[in-house]
Amino acid sequence: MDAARSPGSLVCVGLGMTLGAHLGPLARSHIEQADVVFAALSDGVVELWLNRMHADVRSLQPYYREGSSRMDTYWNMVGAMLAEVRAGKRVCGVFYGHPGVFAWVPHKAIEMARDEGYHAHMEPGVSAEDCLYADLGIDPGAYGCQHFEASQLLFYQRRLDPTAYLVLWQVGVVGDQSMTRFSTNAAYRQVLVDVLARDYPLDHEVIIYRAATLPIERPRIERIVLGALAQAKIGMAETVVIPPARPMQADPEILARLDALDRAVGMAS
Amino acid sequence: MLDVIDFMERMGGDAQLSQASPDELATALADSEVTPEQRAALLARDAERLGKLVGTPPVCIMVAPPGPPGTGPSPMQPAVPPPPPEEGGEEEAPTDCAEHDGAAEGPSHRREPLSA
Repeated sequence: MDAARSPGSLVCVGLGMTLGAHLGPLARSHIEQADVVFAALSDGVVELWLNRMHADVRSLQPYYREGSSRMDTYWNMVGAMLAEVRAGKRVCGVFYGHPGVFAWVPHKAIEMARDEGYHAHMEPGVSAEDCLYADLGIDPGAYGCQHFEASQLLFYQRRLDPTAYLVLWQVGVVGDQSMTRFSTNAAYRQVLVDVLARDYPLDHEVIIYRAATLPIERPRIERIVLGALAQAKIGMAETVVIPPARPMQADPEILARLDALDRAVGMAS
Repeated sequence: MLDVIDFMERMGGDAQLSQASPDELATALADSEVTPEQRAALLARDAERLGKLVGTPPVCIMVAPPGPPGTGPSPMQPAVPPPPPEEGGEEEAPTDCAEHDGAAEGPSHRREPLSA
């Protein structure tokens, strides 16, 4: 089939985090104008809301199966969307938050659709990260901000900068190598604490955060010390934010170079 | 007249209603078709109760693999599509996430949004 001439197309959009608050006009238009809508959302109530925007909304929830790898589930989700693209449909994948942030399925589906010659693209949405900055009053420009998938800190040797904010995602399943579990227990979180303790004191403040998904909710903002993180109640929705533990150190050598440049261009420092 | 989904859509997008006090919320709900039980859940800001009242099933959440795009869940496993199902095999019924082993802290009635 000459996919380049096919009308089939794929767009992945984000609904944002909070029902009714974050959906942008362009994303809504893509939903309304699609032939088929696939949905992977944050909340069953939000899915009911989406069902009112289009007559053919197909939930991706049934692809989850007990004991099977999430990666198999995700491949099946990608396959379901691409089958409709190949059938010449205008397909819209709707995901909670931002469709491209910590979301493997939309990226893979777009990549494969493009490889097959179909038009495919992504529209951004309001992510949990965006909500986090507003709810916690953090400006990532102030000290810098590092983001890591929590298990990545355990599986790989990463370098942390304790003078900047650290945001850890998916702490609720930290350390799961099987991709089949919905939670990991305190012992796994203790491994995370031990890794973090290489750079942060155990009495350093950490913030457990969860954005609101319904407008009646308030975000969860709970401040504890790092040493208590393993025993804290942390689900898959929660994000852990670690404020800077040390002040930034000036770099005299680089500052001297910049001063010399300033003098060379006739600027007083 | 607004039902509970319409009401929350309006609430999410209305500057005043999104910040309403319990009394203001109760006044706004009086002009809606939201049932008394749903009103109680809304006023209590009890999202889990509300989900049960409107009959939504438990929701699983997407968890990104902890590696760069194209890699599997662990550093040594590449991401490859699963084999196709055997022909004639019986279709396995989807399983409720909340019944999954070790789901005590995981998927509840509501999905748990992550990052995104």
